[in-house]
This record gives sequence, C-alpha cells and structure tokens, in this order.
Amino acid sequence: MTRRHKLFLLLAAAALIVIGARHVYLAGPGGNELRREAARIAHFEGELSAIRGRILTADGQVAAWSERCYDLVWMDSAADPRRVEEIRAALLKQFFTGGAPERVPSPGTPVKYELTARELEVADALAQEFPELDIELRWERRHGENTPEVGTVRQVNGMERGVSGAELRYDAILRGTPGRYTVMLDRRSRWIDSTFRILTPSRPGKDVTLDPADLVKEEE
Amino acid sequence: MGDLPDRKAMLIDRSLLLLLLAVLIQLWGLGAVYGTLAPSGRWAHFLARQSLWAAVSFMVLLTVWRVPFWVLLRHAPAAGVAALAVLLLLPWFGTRINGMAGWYQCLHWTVQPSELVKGFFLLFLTWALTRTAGRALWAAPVIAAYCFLILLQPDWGTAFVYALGGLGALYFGRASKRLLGLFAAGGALGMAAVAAAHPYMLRRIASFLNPALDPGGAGWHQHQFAIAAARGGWCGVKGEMAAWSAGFLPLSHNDSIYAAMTEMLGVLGAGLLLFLFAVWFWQWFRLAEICRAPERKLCIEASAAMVLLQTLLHIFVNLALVPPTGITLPLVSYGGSSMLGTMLMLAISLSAAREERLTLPEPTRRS
Repeated sequence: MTRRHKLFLLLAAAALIVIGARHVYLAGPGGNELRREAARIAHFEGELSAIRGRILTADGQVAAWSERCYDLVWMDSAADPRRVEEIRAALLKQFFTGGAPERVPSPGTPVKYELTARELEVADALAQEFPELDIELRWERRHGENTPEVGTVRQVNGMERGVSGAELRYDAILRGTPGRYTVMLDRRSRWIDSTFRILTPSRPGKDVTLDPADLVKEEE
Repeated sequence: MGDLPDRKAMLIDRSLLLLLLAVLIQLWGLGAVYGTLAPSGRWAHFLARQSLWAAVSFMVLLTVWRVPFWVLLRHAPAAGVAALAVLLLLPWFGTRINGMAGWYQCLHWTVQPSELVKGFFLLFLTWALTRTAGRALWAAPVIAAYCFLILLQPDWGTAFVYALGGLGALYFGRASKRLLGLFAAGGALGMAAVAAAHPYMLRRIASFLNPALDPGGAGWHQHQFAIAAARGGWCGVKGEMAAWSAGFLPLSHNDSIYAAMTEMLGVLGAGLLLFLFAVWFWQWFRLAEICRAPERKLCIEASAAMVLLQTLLHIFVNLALVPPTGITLPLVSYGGSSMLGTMLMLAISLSAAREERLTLPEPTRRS
C-alpha cells in the first residue's frame, strides 16, 4: 500500500471516528435535550370522544341515536392562486358535479362539507394529494320520525352533551366516558397517521329506555 | 512472476466481492426507501421505480464491465466533452425543480445529468492525468469546468462532490503538494464567490456556526437532522413511529435518508450500514492496489475516492456536522440518476481490473 493510500484511508478512518462519536453523543445523554424538544414539538395528546347512547321508547322504538359523520375541511393555507384553483377544480370535479358551485369552499374561511360513505374514500385520496384539505370526524344526533321529542344536544369539545329534555336528564348515563389518544404532528401540525395510538379507549354511553312518565314530563 | 496466479485470483475475487457488496447496499437502500416512505403510505410508487433503476443499473454495470478499459479511455475526451455539453445546455433545456435547473425531463422520467456523468468526468481526468504532457495542468481546468457548470444550476452540493472527486484524482495522480494546495485554495475561493452570490448559502453557513441565529429558517434543516438522530437512540424507534422521517426531514427518502434511517434503526442499524460501506470502500481501494498500470490504478482510486467522499459528505450533513446541502447517499438514496451514476463508476473500475487481469502474462510451469 502506497503512502498516499495510507494517508487517504487514515483520513477516512478519522471521519468514521467523528461519525461514530457524533452517533454516540446524540444517542446518549447529549441527545436528551433534543428528544425533549421533539416531544414538545410533535407530541400531541387528545380526547377520544365516546359515542352517545341511544334513547328508546317503552315499545322499543329508537327515539334518538348518534351517527359518525365526516367533514372535508379546507384549511386556509393555499396562498398561491394557482394552487387555489387547482384545489377548487379538484373539489368541483369530485363533489359538486351536479350541485351548486357556490358551495365550493373558498380559502379564507375553513368550510366544511359533510361526506357520505362513498365520498369519504374520494376525500381521503384527495387529502393525500392536497395537504390543505383535511377530514374531521364528528358525531351527529339523529331522531326517529314517529317517536316523541326527547330533547336536544350540543357539541362540547367533540362530545355531545344533553341540553334539554331526556337528553339532559339522562346525560350522565348517555354520554359515556371519553378516552385518550396520542399522535405525532408533522411540521405543519398535521397528524402523522401511522403514529396514532389509543392510550385509554373511550367507553360508549349506555342506552336509556324511557317510561311513559318520562314522556309526560317531555310534553309538560 | 511467482505471484501471477495470486494476482489474477485476487483481481477476480475482489471484483466479485465489490459487486456483491454493491448489490447488498442497493438492497439495503430499497429497504430504506420503503421504510422512510411507509409511514406516509407513499412507498409503492417509489419502491417500484427504485427497484427498476437498481435492475437497469445492474445491467449497465454488467455491460460496461465487459468493455475493454482501453476503449473507454480512448473515448474519454470525447465522452468528457459531451458530458460538459450536456451540463452546459441544462439552463436552456433543463427542468427546474426546487429552484434548481438540474434535470432533463423525458415523458414521466427525469434524469439528473450531473449524477450520471460522474464516471465520464473521472475517465476524462484519468486520461488527462496519464495521457497528456501537462498532466495536472490539464486536469485542473477540466475539474473547474465541470464544477462551474454545476454551480450554474445552482447545485452547490454536487459541485462540491466534483471538486472533492477532482482533488482525490489529483492526489492519487501524484500531483505535487503545491498544486494540490493551489487547487484546494482555488476551489475554496470559487465556492466563496458562489456563496457570496447566493445569500441563502451564507445564511446556512452562518446558522451552522451559530444555531441560535435563525433556528426556524436557515438553521431549521440542520436542527431536524440532529433531532432525528437523537430520537433514534441506540436501537431506533418503530418504523411507524418515525415521525421525523415522516413529517420533518426534507426528502427523507433521498437527501435525508441517513438521518431517517438513524431514527428508525438507531446507532446499531446505522453502524451496520457504515460497516458495509467501510468494507466496500476497503475492497475498492484494495482492487486499485493490485493494479500496476498507472491509468487503471488511478481510475479505480479516483472512483473509490469520489464515491467515498460523497458518502462521507452525506453522512456529515445528516448528522448536522456540516452545513446542510442536498447530496444523495450512493446506492441507498432514492433516485435513478444517482444509482446509475455510482454503478457506472463501479463498472469502469471493474473494467479496469478486468483488463489488468487479461494483460497479465500466463504463468509458466516450473520444470
């Protein structure tokens, strides 16, 4: 081996030692502060909403129940006019072919569009293509057509809370127990789906069967 | 003559070992491309393309390996000048990606000529350093011309790799210390001039020296590299939990692949890849050592040096040891041009070793 060979390989070996030392430093206590910072930047813990229980009449009819709904949300981050047009065209093509174009979300205010099951798949593909679009989950309270009024609910932190009537009276039973989840966020504070973990599963609310006395109270 | 059979056997053994290690590193690279893109679910398209490029580059290697080295060297000036012309035309006919006019587009495929022509560059240098009267004085303008054209794109990182590769060729081409010093100083001055013309480069260097200066801007990438490596710890985080690879590192399957791998595999995984690379380069230099003909020896040494220096630069950038610049990790990063360019350099080295073997006289039987 020539002198030049030896010298060159010696320099390469020195570089390898520097790399090794840097690895050891970052993996060891030297990287603690960076790991803490990573957790601070990207670690997010949230509440997992529980599905609200159903309200049944004495004869077994379902008077109120909750359904999972999805919204397509266009966040206001598309400043480039060409990008805005691109997203608008994609939305028009996928969701508003026969509908009113004025419903197309415009940048400036996040506009929600409730998705049907089929549309959810399309929206998911679209959200992959356009990071400005997001899909959000929420619960929607539905009421039976030929059943008595059982009160109203409203959304509080992603959970449905009873506001009046039987919904309010039996709220503690119906609302269930929320769980907790953890997820990591990317640089634009969007979820990194693969990192989603349930810490505590949510417990669904219990069903309540109204007796005739309850219905009298509702009417009063 | 007593060592002839040994030398022949060694040339064959080392060539095959070199090829085997290259294929192993390629396979590692395919795994890395999958691993870095799996959390985002975008892996299938990239993995398919990268596998195709790996297969194509392997076929190209096998083809070039069979071409006699003297043929390659005879056409080196023409090929080198043609490569310069291809680089020269980029500003007019090239495609601009991320503000850099460094690609030609053909249908759905883009190729980066500065990656592809590295082998031609080294052949041209080998020719200049072994076949011309002025030798090093011929080689310096060749290196400067390549670097200048790549800086016009502007691709700071690749130009730096060419400068390092050129310096390596001069070093192994027995250039005097004074000339090496002059070349290094000239290169540094050239780089400084380019940095002055592009303020973002100055900001990156300033942020590297003082990370608190602009942590959210010019210093951002460098900080993300350090966080990714720190998150990986000793054994790495689970693939799907590699948040930095999925959401923070710029081009985690390409320019940041080493940092992304470190996050997923930790020091132990990264160490294994480093070991593979170390054995590969060791064998590459050992192959040069067996060759006697100066032009073959130089071409193998220069190729090994250029790929080694690019590998070290990528790793240094990805461990936040030098200011960030976009450089691929040879055979591992996603990108067909880089893969093909590296395999072409290896193929030229193997062709040189083959010719060395074929030119050895047949051993005579002792009476």
